[in-house]
Amino acid sequence: MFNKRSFLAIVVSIIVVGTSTYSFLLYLDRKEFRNYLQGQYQKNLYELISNVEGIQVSLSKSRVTASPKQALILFSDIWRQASIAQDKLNSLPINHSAIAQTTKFLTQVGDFCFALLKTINSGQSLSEADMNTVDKLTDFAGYLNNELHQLEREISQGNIDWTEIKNAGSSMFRRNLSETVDMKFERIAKELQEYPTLIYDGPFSENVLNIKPRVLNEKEVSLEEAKRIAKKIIGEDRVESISVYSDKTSDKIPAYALSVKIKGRKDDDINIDISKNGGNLIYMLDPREVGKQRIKIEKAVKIGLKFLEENGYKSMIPTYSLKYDNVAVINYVYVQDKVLIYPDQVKLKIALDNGDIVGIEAQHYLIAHTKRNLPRPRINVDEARQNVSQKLEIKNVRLTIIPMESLKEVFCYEFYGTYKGEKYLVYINAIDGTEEKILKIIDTPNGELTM
Amino acid sequence: MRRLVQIFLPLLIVFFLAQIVIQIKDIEAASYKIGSKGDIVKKIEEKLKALGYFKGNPDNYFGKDTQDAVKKFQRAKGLKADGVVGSNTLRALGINAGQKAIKPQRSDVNLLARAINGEARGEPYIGQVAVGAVIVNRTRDPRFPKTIAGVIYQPGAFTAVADGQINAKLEPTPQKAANDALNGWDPSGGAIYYYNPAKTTNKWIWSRPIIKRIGKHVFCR
Repeated sequence: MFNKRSFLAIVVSIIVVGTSTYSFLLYLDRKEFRNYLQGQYQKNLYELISNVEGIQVSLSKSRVTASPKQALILFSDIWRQASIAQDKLNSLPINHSAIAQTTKFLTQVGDFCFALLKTINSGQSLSEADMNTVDKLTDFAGYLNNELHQLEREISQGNIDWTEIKNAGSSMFRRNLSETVDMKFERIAKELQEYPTLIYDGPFSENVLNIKPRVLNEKEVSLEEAKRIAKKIIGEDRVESISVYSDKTSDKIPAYALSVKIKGRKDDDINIDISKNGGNLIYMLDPREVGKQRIKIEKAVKIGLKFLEENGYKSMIPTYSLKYDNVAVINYVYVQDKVLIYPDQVKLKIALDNGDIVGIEAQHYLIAHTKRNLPRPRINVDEARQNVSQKLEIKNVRLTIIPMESLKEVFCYEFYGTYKGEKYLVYINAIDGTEEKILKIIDTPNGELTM
Repeated sequence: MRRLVQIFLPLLIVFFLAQIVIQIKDIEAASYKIGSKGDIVKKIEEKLKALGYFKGNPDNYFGKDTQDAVKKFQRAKGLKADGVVGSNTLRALGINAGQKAIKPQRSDVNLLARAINGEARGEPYIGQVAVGAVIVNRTRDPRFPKTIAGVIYQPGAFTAVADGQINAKLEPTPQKAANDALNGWDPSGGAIYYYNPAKTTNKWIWSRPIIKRIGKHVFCR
């Protein structure tokens, strides 16, 4: 009996010692991880502060410089620091709704300064309005800088533990900590809402963000009409029934979201959205499995062209194609008076097993497409060629309209050429000869990709 | 007491053993030893032959002769001469085990596929494309980070990152969905948020204007 007892005692103590050692080791391990994480978050905070400080300083310097060269350096510096600050801010464990406005401010300041940089770079001087905006932005950057410094002081005094903030809500104590930082940023957000609406030539400009699709002017169609249009696109004889898969309440392009049951299929319904205004196709996706490749890409390109013509997309030409898992993704672009209109593009996914269209993307076309008044080129091909690098061996030239990042459309000569075996597209403005854009064509296992 | 011990002791032992096994498994990943087969083994043998350590004909099988050659190589390089080709020896041989030939890929497609896989596995196909589209849409919104990685790994942004689901085994459908989302398909209708109404208690997200409902997710602006 006694032996049994001592045996038990030994076993129990082994277990107790074992578990406690083990948990202590786990605790040390966890502590190490948390210290590491805390260090990373602190690093992000300090880098955020120093970059915001830099933005403020460079903005204020740009007001007093008289030399465009110096202004170029300052604006590129702001652009760089805004991008770093934005990244650091979004690496901190703070509620996104609290930092959204500050993030937007940093993005737009950087983007705006990059637009100013391009203006100066093209030899123009900045307008009075631009300089006034810079003035106002300097004040807001100064405000943000002050607030962040204050936050930093509070954190270093009160020892805010970022790793605790991440688990916000699990206890009263933690909630308090997270609220301090969240509330701080919510207050900053309120103040920053007042910064001027920025309209400039860049992707995050307010006018680009609030673009109104042209299609909204078209007459509204009924659900029955939309179903009929969907049926025609997918093929009358394939459709068994059509239902609505989602009610939409708000969207850039209000639409009927339809789910199409295909004859002879159990599931894998095709989804297709038809715009309420005008009954235009927005997108279509068929999730079916695609079998072995039986048809060539060239054949698929032709099938796609025929499909587009039958469905009202006239005068389209294929530009590039990619291939994934026996599906070709082919890009078609609208041509008007022999000019390629790149903003008006439709993408088709074509199954290479039987040539079915298994996907259509027409939203970009819908937003951009219109009958344009095309200008006449003011310089001829030879003059434009002068502005393309002599290193490039030119294989092809054509006239195009290309969308810039700001969605502004530019009339250009497109030079397709090679240098050291690599392919490039160079765009020269057909009005003033500016080199607007260079794209590099990269061979990937899926096909050629422009970057 | 006795019953308690009888129940707990095996449990604890299993627990500790499991820990050890997990750790060993981590260490053993990607090592080649006697009995191993495959393209990498052939590569190892070719390298060793080129360096003069291996005399035989390179094939896909890791034999005794291979092991001897590996040991010689390891000794010469100051590595632990155990005859097992682990990550250190592979590196010393200049073999990149993970990928075969590095071809340029569309950047971020794998990461996006992983995020979709972790967030929306089991959702209808367009639901998966829509989740991918939300991530892509965020990169174009000034209120969010500008890169796919920045958006996905923003602290607290996606539960799949927090609970590790993003590292779950990648299924084929999310990869297809990631390609479609990067190619411009957007069934979400321009959404930048989504949530599962059955699981979310966040009041703020409920107040967002809803664009669409696909499967279990609600997409909003």
